[in-house]
Amino acid sequence: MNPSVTDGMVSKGHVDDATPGSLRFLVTSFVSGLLFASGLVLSGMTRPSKIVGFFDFSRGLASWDPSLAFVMAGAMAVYVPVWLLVKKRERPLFDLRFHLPTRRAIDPKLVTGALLFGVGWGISGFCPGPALVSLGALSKAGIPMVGGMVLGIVGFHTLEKWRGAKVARAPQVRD
Amino acid sequence: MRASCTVLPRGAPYCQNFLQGSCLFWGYLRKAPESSLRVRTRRRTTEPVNLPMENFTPLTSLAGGLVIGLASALLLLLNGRIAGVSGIAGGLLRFKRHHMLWRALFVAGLVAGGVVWNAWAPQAFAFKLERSSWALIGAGLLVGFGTQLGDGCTSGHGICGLSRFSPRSLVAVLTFMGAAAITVFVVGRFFGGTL
Repeated sequence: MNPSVTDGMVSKGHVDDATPGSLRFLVTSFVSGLLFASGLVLSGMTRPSKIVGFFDFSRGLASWDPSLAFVMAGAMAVYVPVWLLVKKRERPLFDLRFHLPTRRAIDPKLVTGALLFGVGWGISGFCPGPALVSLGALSKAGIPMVGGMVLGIVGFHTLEKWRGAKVARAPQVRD
Repeated sequence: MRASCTVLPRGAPYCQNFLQGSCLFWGYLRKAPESSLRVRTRRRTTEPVNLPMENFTPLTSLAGGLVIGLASALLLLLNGRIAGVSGIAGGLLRFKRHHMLWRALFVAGLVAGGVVWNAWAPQAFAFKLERSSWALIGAGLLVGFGTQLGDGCTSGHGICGLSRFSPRSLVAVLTFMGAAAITVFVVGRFFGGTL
């Protein structure tokens, strides 16, 4: 990736950083969420046993379920070309600038966070997307899962505030 | 099923899963009768297997992946945002005034998707995995906390990050996939597959 190209597009918290409230921007957000949920349902990712099946190698290759890899491959097959297109653009269609993750550092925070997330994912078979979709479906597993997730997210940010961690990292655009 | 596995050559049972998996899932979507679901779970009764085997669904999974990619691509190309569920939900729960509405709508879209799909194809949410509510709450805590600390989840780091060739996301994905695999192994080995 050419950093100079990316840096040009990266949001730096300028005055024109306000989120547009235009109807088309908001409709896109909702439609994207709805489509995302449909993709998760169609791919079987709303059934945690498929996630566990992906990570369970104990029963040999014949009963391994590589579906998750196919989901990732399918999603990337669409996203990679769009990203290559986006890299050449100055701005998205409905906003003034792209809001992309600014952090580059591979630090202990990243690895610890990913480790904790991985353990939770392995226990439950839910990552945040399918968990929220399952909440909508009022699934028995989805409700406690999202409850825990909300506590975890709020807990993290409360802790961050406590530690007085100054949010000097521009507009917090998270991956 | 088991008998046929021993007769057929090595690749064959895999292939069977391949076809059956796709068909079964389409069956789900068309509200397959209860009996067709039972066939799947009653296989392999001889082993003390606690987690039921899931069928490999390459076609529906690939198709679903394409839809997920399309949803994320729309958000990037039109709105200029990364479709990271944990990031969007995290921002929502921090009550940042200016970035609230679109985040709320994205999450509402996800939840609404669940409502609609559950009305049309409730089988899409059926699974057999022995997890107590407490285990799920604990897992939720880990997922919530971990994704905020690590700046992303399967969508943000996995789909968007890897597609953007971000080394940071690659490290995150390898880490959480590894952690999940070890966790599944430990749960299966030392907890008998139930929590």
